[in-house]
Amino acid sequence: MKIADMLHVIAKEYYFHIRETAVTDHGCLLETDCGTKIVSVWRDEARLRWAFAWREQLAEKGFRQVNRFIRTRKQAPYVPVGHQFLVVQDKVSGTSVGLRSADQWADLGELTGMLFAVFQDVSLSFQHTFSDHLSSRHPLDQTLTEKKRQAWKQELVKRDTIFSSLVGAHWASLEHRLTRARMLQATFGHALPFMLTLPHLELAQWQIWHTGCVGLSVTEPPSDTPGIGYASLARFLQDLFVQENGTIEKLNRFYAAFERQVRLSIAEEYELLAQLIVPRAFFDVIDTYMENAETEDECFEQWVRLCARQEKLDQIHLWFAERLDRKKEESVSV
Amino acid sequence: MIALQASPTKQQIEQMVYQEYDFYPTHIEQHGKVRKIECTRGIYALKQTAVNASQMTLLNCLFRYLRQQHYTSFLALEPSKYGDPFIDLEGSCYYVNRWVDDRTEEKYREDWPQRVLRQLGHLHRLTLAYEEPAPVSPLTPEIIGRRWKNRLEKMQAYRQLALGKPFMSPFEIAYVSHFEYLKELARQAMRYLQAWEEKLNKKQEQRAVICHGNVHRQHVLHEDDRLYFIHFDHAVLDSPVRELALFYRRHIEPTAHWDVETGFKWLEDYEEQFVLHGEEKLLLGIYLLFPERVFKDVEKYYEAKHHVHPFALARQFEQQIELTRIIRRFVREIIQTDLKIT
Repeated sequence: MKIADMLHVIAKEYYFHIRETAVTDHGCLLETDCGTKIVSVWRDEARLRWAFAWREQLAEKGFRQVNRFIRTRKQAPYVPVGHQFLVVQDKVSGTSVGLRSADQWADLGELTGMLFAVFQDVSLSFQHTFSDHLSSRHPLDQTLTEKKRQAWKQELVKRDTIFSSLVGAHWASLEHRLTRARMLQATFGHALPFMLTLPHLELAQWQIWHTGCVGLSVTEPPSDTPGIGYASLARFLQDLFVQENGTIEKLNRFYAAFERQVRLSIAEEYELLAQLIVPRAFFDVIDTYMENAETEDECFEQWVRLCARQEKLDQIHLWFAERLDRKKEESVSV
Repeated sequence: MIALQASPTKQQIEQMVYQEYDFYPTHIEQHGKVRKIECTRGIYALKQTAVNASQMTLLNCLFRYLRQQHYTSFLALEPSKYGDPFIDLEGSCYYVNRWVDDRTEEKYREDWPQRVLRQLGHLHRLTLAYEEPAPVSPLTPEIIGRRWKNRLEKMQAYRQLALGKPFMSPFEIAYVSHFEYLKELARQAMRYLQAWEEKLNKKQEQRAVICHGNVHRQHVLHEDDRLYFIHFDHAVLDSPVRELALFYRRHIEPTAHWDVETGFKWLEDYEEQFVLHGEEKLLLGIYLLFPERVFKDVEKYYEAKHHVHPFALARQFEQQIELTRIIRRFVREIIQTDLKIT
């Protein structure tokens, strides 16, 4: 869509006056008499409706500091233009939240729990819309098929580089973790409810807004497919733990607060544990290397970094596994 | 260290509300409980209301219904930039109306009560078929009867208090001397109400309409030749008679020339829009018969809410007594022209 056409539509449909514009990857940035607005162009209406629905639900639950879709003069949340849709949101500038104390971990756990409670609620009405997405993009099935791994293994042996020998040394351990993750998934996989989430959760999405309160600002590229299940939560926990000097005490506080907002079923907790165990980042590096052998040096460095990080990450899945064991014991001891 | 979930300050809440409406104020004025906000989007009235979120939802439902019925004598809730009719923040609700430069002089025209009553009649007529609940629960005649009984007991106690004093104030002298008359009025109203309930209320379901619940000059705005009701916080699905009785009680001025004829004129204007049934007129008469306004003045006196000279108070009290006599005549005529309870 041409920027002039876009601006023409926006000026007609929205109440604010545009002063300046700048083109961005997915639309444009507007300086208006009502602050800075982000305009994004969406092509997939289902994804658009999902992005709208979870924000509205979050606001309805009482968390209003989220970058919702701004309504047109006629109260429409987005404007259809041909086969595309224009969405206007505030560009929120805030300061990052610190996670130094266990109390702050607990606060973040509560906010994340609220977000997942919303994902659970909203996903039900999108089950049919995204059913193809569910079957084709199950986190552990698509990227890590047996066939693909065997092909990687053979290619690594064939390439015979320092990086491939490093991977070879760790291969059995990676396979072992993957098998364990799959076993856990298989235990309750059938009972796992359909749940769409944000594909990426980051601490940077939570910010102290100019109002002085914590807000959630997510600017997902319109082409992004929603995430499924608890992969994003597992990665979020891992990133927090590594980057924010996590401890088991802080994790406990986070999760206890998370559970005050949303209580996961046993099937969901098994799924989360599986996602914590699966060494996805390692396989991603192998994938990159397989795509382009010239990235060997970068992949090598990344692999070493991942090995160092993994020691810390193992604490998380052990913590969660023990937690699950305790829960099971409590449920059988009468 | 910043707590992520700390309760926001008053200033932060204010900022959040502005953000929800995309208000970038160029000028702000406080008008009582309402804040006048001027910004590039226009001029608005922002109010923090005592009504809770579920009551606000009911009010929004009512406003939608009134719009569908093409009723225009109210100010619609301006939606936030996210389309919300009101903002629920930290246990308080905020809403926004467009700002109306109120023509106060209109409110002191002689025909003001009649204009308002016509609009009230219109509101009642349109909402006769309204089936959703209202923010406030209705008061049944039974509850009102109980309230009157309590009120009368309290008045008797105040009388005893006055009689126990070595020197009564001019107000107390007037009160004590008229007490038997007031008591008789109250008892008569209570007796009639009970009889009304027994004979009429059980026979058929009484009509219920949306009553604004708190009509007075501050809650009616005038712009050009139109008027708007605001502050529907006390809106209730109740008998139209309650709204009428409250309106009469509040707007019969002891100093103005108010007589039986005026009473009927008001009723006529109201009935241009919504004709009352015989038993409803009877109930209106009963409600008006109870000397609520005088009793309130007595209560105010003993709770020291008056800041008027004692002699002036006594004079006002005498005027109120005189009004009760006129109202009594008005009530007698309503009863005679419609249905009698003996």
